[in-house]
Amino acid sequence: MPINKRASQTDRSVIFTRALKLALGALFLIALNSAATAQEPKGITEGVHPLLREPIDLTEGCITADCHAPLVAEEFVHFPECEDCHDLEDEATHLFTLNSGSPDLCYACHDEPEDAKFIHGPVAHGDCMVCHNPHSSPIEFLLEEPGNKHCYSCHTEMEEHVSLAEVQHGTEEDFQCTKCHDVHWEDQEFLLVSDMPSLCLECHEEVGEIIEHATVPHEALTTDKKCVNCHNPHGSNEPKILADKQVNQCLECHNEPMETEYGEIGDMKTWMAENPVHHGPIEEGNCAACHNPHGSQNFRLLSQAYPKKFYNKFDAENFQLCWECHEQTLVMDEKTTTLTGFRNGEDNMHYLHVNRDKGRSCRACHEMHAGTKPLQMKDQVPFGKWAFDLNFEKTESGGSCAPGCHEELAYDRVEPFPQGRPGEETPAPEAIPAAVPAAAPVAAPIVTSEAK
Amino acid sequence: MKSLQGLQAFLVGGFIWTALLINPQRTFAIYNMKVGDPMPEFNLPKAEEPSERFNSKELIGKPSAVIFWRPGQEFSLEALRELETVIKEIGTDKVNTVSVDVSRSSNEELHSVFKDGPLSYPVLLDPERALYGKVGVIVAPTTLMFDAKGILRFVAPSFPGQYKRVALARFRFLLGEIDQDEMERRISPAVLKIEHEQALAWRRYNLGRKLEENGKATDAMGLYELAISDYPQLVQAQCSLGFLKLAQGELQPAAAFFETALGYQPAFSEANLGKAAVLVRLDRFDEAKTILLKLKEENPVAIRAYYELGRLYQAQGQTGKALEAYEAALAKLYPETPAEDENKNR
Repeated sequence: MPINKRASQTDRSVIFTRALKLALGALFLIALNSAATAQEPKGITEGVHPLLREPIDLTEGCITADCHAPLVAEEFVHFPECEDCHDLEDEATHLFTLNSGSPDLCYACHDEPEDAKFIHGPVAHGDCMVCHNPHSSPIEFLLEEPGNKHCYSCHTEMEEHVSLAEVQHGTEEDFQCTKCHDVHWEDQEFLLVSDMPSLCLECHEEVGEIIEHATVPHEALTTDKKCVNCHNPHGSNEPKILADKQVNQCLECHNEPMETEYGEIGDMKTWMAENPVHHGPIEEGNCAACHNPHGSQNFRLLSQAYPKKFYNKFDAENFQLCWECHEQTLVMDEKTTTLTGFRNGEDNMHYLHVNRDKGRSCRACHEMHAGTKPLQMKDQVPFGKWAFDLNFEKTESGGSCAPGCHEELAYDRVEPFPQGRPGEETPAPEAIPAAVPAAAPVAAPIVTSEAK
Repeated sequence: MKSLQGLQAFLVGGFIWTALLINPQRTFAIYNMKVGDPMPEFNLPKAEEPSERFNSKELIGKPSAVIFWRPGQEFSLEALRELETVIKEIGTDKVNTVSVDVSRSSNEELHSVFKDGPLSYPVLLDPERALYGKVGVIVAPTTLMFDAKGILRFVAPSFPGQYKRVALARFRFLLGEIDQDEMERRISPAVLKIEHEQALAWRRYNLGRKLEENGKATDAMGLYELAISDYPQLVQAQCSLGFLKLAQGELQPAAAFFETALGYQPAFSEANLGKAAVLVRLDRFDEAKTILLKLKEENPVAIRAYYELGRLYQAQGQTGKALEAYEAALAKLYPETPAEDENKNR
């Protein structure tokens, strides 16, 4: 990103103006000594400051209309008297000096950093005047510029970043640098006013609630940069001020197998790259559709309830995660012509497999993240330490499978197969045998130790 | 070998993600329609007044959106709200929109959704899921977007965080307000990243300038040196160091900083000015004059360029020309203030 080149050379003029005047003065003196131009320039008395053409009556005070009144003309005025900071050195030449240099002069009244771990640059260099006007200012705290603009005068990259960001951190009123950063010194890096995540949770209470009640925490919140691992508090082009596209953000860490207290997590990046048929939310790059990155009371940080086991007595409440997007009646209606393509005529095959005492969880047959078959049908079904082939084949109006659970059975939405086979009756749900392990173990993206 | 495989996986993954993000042909969220199909005909009752019906033909003639949703589902409700803001932003007269409640919710449930205000677009009822089935909806919400001729152009399943951004960009594309490239750029804007080394260098340089203005040249010099150690291409810091060295009378180090800056940016005015200033002090007047005459009309370096020209003429004994140059410098420095008055309040 190009950096804002705010700094201009014109400001240097303040420094060399004096030199310029001296040079001009010198030139006048040369001119005075020249016979050809031996006329004294009007209004200049040699060797005397122009302001001292008339004696200055110091009893009048410094703040008179003709003298230093403009210095204290703004709304916010530094309250000390002039002599609290300035000493009269020579009345004849009206020479005043500061009692002491900055910052000692300031620390005579204001606190100074003592054991602070992190000190803001201007303070570290002892130059309070970088930010504050010692006399008066239209801005509170005698600052030179209002609000964030003041900070941007040095932090130029931030001004550009904030102006480019489509997603801002709160409203303009809320987004004040000083809400999160101390301007003088702090014990937290980046002068944060408190440690993360507590700093963020002061405003984001709802996230605090989630973290507090989570039985399955997300390590990203407690390691490295914590909240800033995922979010860019200065704004971004992504929803929720994510620092990058959500899926990239997740895969930045989930790009290798991980051992956690809650089980092993596979290398999701490779898995998704090698398996082109993705679950809808993943197609959208939206991992947070199913996982709560701030913590959860469900395994795998799932945002809603989902059965942990392979077999479960059916209860729609246990599938709340799926109902976030899918229609619940998908497994509630025994007959349908519209709810699902997985039907044999009007017989709802999802109902048959799930809505029963020994109901299967969705991931018995579907890959939750990505697979190679249509509808993310699994190649192999993990069953304990084993896995068996699903042998799913899709046809124009239906499909078939031949897993370890039952012999090869087919379904067709247009020309239904009686009981899955021509010429035979559809078996009652109870007649479907329990899964039988077959074939070799398989490396699933998430090791489903709970699939027992 | 392992790193090669990693790179391979990265490239394949990156390609798939990019392709998926921008490819409008995705129809994984519906199983009975695909992009390019005509809008299915329907004639559904309105939730507000079930005796009134809405016919699909009413959507033709403008780009349109049909959102399938159900009450009691947070993603659906958020999608409805965001679609409402999208339509208002686009202009309600420019597009046609309907929502289709595919639940079997009671009237109370349905009306509770709109207790804070009705939508600007009709809510249709599809309790038998006739349209739902024709489309082959898999998830709710699902948003279909059709062009003015009623051809399916985009399918947006569920409610990802970028729902509003995507819907806005697609509508604007269908309205012909933006081309496909711009639509894709809006859907997937570049990731904003700060180059930290550059940023740190700029901060140090900016602080250095303020310290220099406050008379702390030594501190400023330290910061400029740190800045160029982080980011040597920061020609402003190179030049600031050059001018400070020049002020200390160290002509060779000053020249080196200006030359380094010119190596990065040959046309950088401040570096050329610094070089000329060094040349003036080395009595290489002709070279200096050539540079300064070019710079004297170039803001913001013109002030100092005139000043250096003044020095040059003064050193050559051309007092009149020197005086003119100094006055020109002052006139540029204080364009509306007489030179005498600016001493006040200092």
